[in-house]
Amino acid sequence: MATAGADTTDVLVIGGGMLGCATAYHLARAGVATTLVERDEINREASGTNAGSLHFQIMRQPDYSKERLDRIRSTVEIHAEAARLWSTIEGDLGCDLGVRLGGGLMIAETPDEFAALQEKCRVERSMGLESEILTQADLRANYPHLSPDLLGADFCGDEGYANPLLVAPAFARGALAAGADIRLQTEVRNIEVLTDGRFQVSFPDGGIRAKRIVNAAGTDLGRLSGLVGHPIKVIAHPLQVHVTEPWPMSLRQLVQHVGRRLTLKQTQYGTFIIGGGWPGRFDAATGRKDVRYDSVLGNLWVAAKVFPFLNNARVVRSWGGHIPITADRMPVMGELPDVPNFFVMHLSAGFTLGPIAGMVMADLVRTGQTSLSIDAFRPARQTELVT
Amino acid sequence: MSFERSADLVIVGGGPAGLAAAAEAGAVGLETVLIDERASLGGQIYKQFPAGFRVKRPDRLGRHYSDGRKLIDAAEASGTEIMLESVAWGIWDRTVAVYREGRDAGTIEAGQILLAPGAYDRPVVFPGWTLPGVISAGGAQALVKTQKVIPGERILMVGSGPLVLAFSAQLHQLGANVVGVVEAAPFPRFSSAARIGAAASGNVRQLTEGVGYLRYLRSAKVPYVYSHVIVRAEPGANGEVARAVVARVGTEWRPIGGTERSFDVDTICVGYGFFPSVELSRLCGCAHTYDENLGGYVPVRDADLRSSVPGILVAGDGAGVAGSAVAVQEGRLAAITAARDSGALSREQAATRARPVRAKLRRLQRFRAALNATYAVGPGIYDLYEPSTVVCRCEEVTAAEVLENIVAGSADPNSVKNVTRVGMGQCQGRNCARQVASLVAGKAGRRIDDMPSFSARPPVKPIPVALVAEERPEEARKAEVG
Amino acid sequence: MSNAGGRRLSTHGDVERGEPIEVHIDGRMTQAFAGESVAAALMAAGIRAFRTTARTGSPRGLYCGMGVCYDCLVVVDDRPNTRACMTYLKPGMRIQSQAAWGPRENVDTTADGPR
Repeated sequence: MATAGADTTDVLVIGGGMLGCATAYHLARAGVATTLVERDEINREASGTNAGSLHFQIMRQPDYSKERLDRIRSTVEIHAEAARLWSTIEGDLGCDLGVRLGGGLMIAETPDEFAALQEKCRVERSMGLESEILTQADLRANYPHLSPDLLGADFCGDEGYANPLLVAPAFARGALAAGADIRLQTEVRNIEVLTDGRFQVSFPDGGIRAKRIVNAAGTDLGRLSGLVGHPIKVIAHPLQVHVTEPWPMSLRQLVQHVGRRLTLKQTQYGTFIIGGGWPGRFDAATGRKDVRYDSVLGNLWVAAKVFPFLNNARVVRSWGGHIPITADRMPVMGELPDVPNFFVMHLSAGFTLGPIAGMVMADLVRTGQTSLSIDAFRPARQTELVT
Repeated sequence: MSFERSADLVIVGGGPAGLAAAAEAGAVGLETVLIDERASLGGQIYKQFPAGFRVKRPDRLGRHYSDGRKLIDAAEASGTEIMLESVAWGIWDRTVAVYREGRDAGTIEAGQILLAPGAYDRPVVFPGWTLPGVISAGGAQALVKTQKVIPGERILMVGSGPLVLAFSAQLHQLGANVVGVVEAAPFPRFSSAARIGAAASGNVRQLTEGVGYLRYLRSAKVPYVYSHVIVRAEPGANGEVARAVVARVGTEWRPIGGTERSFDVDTICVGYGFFPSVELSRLCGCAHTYDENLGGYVPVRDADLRSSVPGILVAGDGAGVAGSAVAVQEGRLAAITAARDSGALSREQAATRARPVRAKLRRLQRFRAALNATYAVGPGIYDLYEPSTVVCRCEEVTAAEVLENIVAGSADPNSVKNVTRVGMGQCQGRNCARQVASLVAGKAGRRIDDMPSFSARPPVKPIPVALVAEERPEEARKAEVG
Repeated sequence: MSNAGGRRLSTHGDVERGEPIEVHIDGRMTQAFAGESVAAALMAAGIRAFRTTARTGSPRGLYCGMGVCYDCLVVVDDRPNTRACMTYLKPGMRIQSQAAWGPRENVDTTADGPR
């Protein structure tokens, strides 16, 4: 088993979120000398601050133009593999990750919304996704805890949720056990491409020489790619999530809303997590992701409207997170065309696709091949995404 | 469904600091709202009898009752709008978000905000601390004084500081069977007694009270043990406290092997001081420093009790535990500062009004400093746990689980919180944050105040969805890819 | 709930308890007084274990007495997660032990049982 040295390594993974940890895990287990550096602590950014939803049905689109459909179609395969992986991941990693795959319901409250669901379901099924429309009668019969006023839902059996606080750390532990070196509080200051194609990477105190780099740095991805001449624009949209006290189990599906921002789930601990992308507030001066008052009120209102039981509950905590997004909101995965051995990986659906992306990226780095097509995500197309 | 108010001054907390501030604010013409989460004013120390009880002989109810009543009456007569059963759950700039239990929710726009949230009993983590029968000294006092119910038949008081002495004597006087008092500090030596005495001028009443309490306990033959701390509570067959085990300690409060002794009791009152409630001051972004003897993190304030954030003042135990006498004067001083900053008082008027208040505070603070030196908290109080001891009461996470989940190199309690769930329960980390910080600091080789705390976020108290939820416009949904 | 110490003190006439009222504790009609908190009424009835916890089934009761620790949770009039120390009696109030996050009969409280 190859191990990384103090100042040289084979693969340097930059970023201790889900993507970096999953990639480092697969590399290390394949015997590659791997070092992961994280400027703060593991899993403190997007992959650790989301609501844990596993989305497999498509989000509502303003239109289903060819361009949009092509974009969606290009992510079908990786989503299908992701769904398979989520169903085995706890066994693979040997620990509880809070994975619950009880299906997802995207609900409609108005006739317009119901029509949008029906159209969406047609598109999903045309792409091979097994979703189905449930009517108001279906919902009232099978999901009595949901509001009886809902007009229907798009049900996708693959959907569910996991605990975002546990997954990246589990990959990190597995990576360590497989011989990877993980360095916290280690920020990359500069990357120099040496004449032999290796990289000299410097930190505030010290540095490392690496044969290959995986840039999985989330919102810092653009700056790091810029250091080797290939900046990529990634914008962090602040969002916030809320959680209640524990209650006896009464909801086993992921609930979403086609017309409003909402995700709702009940964890294995009995707590309800209320999210859906309500905007938080990013304080540039302190770097804090703050919680907005209006978003607390609005998010709770939508959730209680759809799941009236919540009117008995109290919100105990809230937190701010963010979702990092490129201009076209597509994944970015691959080797930089003009910088050999420098790989970038970014997903806005980073939680759902994180584990599979780590596996795929490790394959790409190790062998140059991947078992599923990621051609549509290659960084070469990112010229239009340059800052 | 929601309300919107505004006021020159919003006072959060109706204990001694808040009440004194309300009376002062009314006297200088500030339009003031005072909010308190309880159904009656007085905070903890001046907790009143709930509605239903009828006070027949107030003169026999002791100094706390009469002092409290005076403060409450003055606040109620001051013109301040008083909102009871009202909880400040978040602050955004000068907007205070409030819900009223069982009623509604809304906001109060404040010219200035005075935080007077008080303190809560220090949670001491020792094996068995979660057993029924282990009760905080403050909780026991409230139960006995304002509900006339005793928590058990054989009560051991463990703790440190003058309040332990006072609580024990009062409990016994009220009819509770206090079988012993276990004080962590050593028997007061001549030098510390002299120091307290010297600082006591102007505090004669407090000093003679203390002597009186000791004399009472001695005459009641209640054993008073010095230099010992609680090390274990053991359950009986019913799963509740049946025995308390204490051990001798040195100045650092570390148990000395072979010195354990036990008391057959069904109740252990734990009184090792208090933690200031700094959730709101932290949420507002106020700067804090760390002082173990004031109860931990305390907001930084200037001489006029302003925090580091303009428009936010802090008074009373919520700024550092110093007792009710200090809280009352600080409440007055903070209100005077608020009046001056709002223009209701000129600089000269404020200075004149504040002069006697500052003089009283100086005298009181000398006394407190002497007391603190005598009863300084020993660091051993954070090392009483065993691996199987529950550290997070709400989520039932043990010390062993916390320690094994602290990643090498981690210097942030939030990381171990995220993977173990410590601090995620309904008490919002009030009972475990300090102990978890100690465990992380130990492994990281850092000082407590050299690490982040559990992130400060609203709500600072759990909020009812039914009251707070309200429709809000949503930004147009951005198209997203699946 | 189990029975151990805890009882009402004589007030020596300095203060009078509120009027006597009846409440139900785990289905049993119990004499108490207006003005008492649920916690006080339970303690006075000799009951100090108010609930059992979700993860280990451990008994918990009154700890902080001022509403911050959320340990004294009971089911009041079918509402679980109610702090006994902050809730005051009303005539006919139904108070039940809490097991994990619901009343004692409803023991299946997590998706797969205790963690």
